[in-house]
Amino acid sequence: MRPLLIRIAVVVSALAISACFPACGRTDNKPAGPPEKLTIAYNAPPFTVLADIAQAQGYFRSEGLEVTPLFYSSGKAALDELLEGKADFATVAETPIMFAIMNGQKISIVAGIQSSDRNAAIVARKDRGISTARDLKAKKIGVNLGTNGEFFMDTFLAIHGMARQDVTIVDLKPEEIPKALVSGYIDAASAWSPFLGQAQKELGDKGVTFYDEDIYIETSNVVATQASIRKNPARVTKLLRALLKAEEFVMHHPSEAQKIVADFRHMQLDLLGGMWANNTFSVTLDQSLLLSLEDESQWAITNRLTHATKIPNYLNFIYLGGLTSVKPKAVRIIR
Amino acid sequence: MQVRQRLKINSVISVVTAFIILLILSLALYRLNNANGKGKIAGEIITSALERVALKNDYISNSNERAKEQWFAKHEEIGRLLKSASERFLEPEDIKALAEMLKDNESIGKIFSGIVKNREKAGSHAYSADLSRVIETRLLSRLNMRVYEFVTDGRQLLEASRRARDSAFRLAGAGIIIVFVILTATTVINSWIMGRTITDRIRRLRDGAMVIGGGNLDHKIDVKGDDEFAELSDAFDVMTAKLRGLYSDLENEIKERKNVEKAIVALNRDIAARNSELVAANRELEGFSYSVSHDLRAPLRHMSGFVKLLEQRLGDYTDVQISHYMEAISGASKKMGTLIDDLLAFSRIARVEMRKGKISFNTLVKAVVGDIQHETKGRDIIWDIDALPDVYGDQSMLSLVLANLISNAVKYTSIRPRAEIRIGYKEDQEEFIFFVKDNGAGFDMKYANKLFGVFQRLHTQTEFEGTGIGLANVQRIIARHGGRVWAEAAVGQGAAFYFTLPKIKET
Repeated sequence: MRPLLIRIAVVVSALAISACFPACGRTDNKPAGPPEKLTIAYNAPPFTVLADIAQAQGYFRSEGLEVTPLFYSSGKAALDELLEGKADFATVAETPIMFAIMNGQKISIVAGIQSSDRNAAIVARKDRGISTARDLKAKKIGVNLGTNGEFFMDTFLAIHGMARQDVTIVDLKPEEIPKALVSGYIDAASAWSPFLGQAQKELGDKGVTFYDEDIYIETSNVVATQASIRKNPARVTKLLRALLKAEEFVMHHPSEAQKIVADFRHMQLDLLGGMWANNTFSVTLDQSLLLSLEDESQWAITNRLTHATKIPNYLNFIYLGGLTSVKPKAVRIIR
Repeated sequence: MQVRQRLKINSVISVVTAFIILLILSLALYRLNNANGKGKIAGEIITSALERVALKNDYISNSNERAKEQWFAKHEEIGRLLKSASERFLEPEDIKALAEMLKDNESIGKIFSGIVKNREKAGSHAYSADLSRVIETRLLSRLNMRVYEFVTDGRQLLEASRRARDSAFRLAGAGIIIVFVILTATTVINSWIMGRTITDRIRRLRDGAMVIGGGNLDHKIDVKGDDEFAELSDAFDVMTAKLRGLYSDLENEIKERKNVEKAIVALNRDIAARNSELVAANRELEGFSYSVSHDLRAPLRHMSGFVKLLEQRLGDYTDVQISHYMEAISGASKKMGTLIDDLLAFSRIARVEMRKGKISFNTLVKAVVGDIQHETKGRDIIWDIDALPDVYGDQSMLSLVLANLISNAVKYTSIRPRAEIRIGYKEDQEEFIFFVKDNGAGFDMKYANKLFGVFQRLHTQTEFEGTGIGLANVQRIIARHGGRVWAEAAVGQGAAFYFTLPKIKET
């Protein structure tokens, strides 16, 4: 009896192992041939956390991509690199994307990789008499025009009963803002992390920050030119797969992820840790992104920040195929 | 392993399976209920969110106070639903989605309040109209975004509840199938093993039983193991050993019985021989006593004859002394004659052939009493005689028995001015017990054993006449009829004589 049972167990085990082999092979699939080279233009963390992790952890490489990262202080600058053909992909907030599309650029968002409703804020100097939002009236506010900083500032002022004309706007690069505030060149600034955090830290008790989680959700997105996507859609898929791996890693190892990003981007860990909790790092394509783009388009048209007079159909500027193929559940745009 | 244990295992497996199935079904039902509850809440949240959108549109189109009031009421209801949902949706993804929804809902409330506030204070600023429009546009856009996010997350909750429901169904289905497969496999394997074992062992038991049944009590059924068949085999072997012992004992007993039978046959032969000897000796003895009695009569006659001759020779010569001697010799020889007659009669009773028949004891007693009337003349005797049954026996002999007993009663009551003689009987299933009672002289019971001896007397000749042969005759006759005789008495208080006769029917 026992030998028979052993024989049955051996046969079942053999079948199970033989059935398992192809599956095991798939999970450890190494791309054949040399890695595909590409360049990604990064803005600053926390916008780029998933891309940073994918790069640092070698997820791009495991997907057969050899990524050359280019680092910029703003997504607008990173997008410019893309538009100039110096990068294949860029990580950028929705506002520069909106401006680019309104200006006729043929780009597409392949995925959102970050969102936050507390990453953008107005930081001001108390010694300039600013203690409430209404005190911003007639003050000199620094902002990087053409970015989500400008949109947040405009919206914030409007909600508090002020128009753009009620303040003096100074166009500054994101990295210039902390210094301009500390030096007193400007009274306040509309900024985002990490420069917001830097400014707050440098101002210390002299500074005051105005958040409004309800009026704006900042997003960071991966974009590419439509031509490049059409030419090599597989590359998009590989990129997204690597980013999804990074998402898994961040979800399960948040502390380790912070350390990796801080090391990779040469940032202070406490500065990064302080802003981390306000962000959601996931690879998605949400309906709210469409609304956000349209809303910001309407704002740009109203304030004559663009020559365009019509809101484009942003569905034509979002590439659904890539994310749908690797994680359809993450595509939450109504189709 | 014992068959009982194997059967127990099968039963235990069945019970455990039923229990597991019940458990799985209960768990599935619980999860299904939970999933349905989740689905219901998620559906209500989404429906309420859509109703809230409709109310918002209503308000935006005409600043209707009613719509505003309803919007806030619906908003509060959604808040309650979300709170309720947070108690049910416990998966990490769902918790995350719910957290987003709570945040979105809070923002939606704030943004709509902002819109209401903006409308209510429109016109208070230099650019009020334009600014108000800008603000509202801004806020509406943000509101829509939040609503989309909210509904999208709500849909995720709905899908989570659907997944939970599907999972509950899968759990129930797959669980039951797996348990059934395990149960079937275990039962089949166990039954197969059991069947094979039982068949083999039963065959060995049957073969062994046939050998033993064929008479080979030395055969051993060698079924090894720790199951009931091994126990049965052991029991068979023990039984065979006992049978072997019993068979041996039986053989010895048969031998013993045969020996005893032989001894009995020899003994019977010996008894028959002794009996023949005894009969011959008895006959010889009777013949001897008859001869002696008969032969004694001759000298006795001579003595009587010579006494008569002597009387004739003496003639008229009278001498008182000689006359007395002569009377004594004559009386003695007469008595001796009587004794010899009685002895002869006694002897005859033993030898005479019995002529048995049905006898009316009533008639017989009356006849006997009638015969002795001459002895009772002048006596005051009260007879008390029961109606007596018919008996089976020799009439002349039984007549002698009654004559002896009744005449004894008459004789021994002669000392009473009024004699009382009672004749009656009792009976049981086997025999009649007759008795003759009187109120006569009685006797001392310590001499009762002498009563029925030949020529044994308890009274002197002067007190009561007699030879002492009568009761000996009674005992011999009753004995020849298969009965018993005994007496009860006390000195001066009368006596009672009993005799039994078997209830033997005439054949």
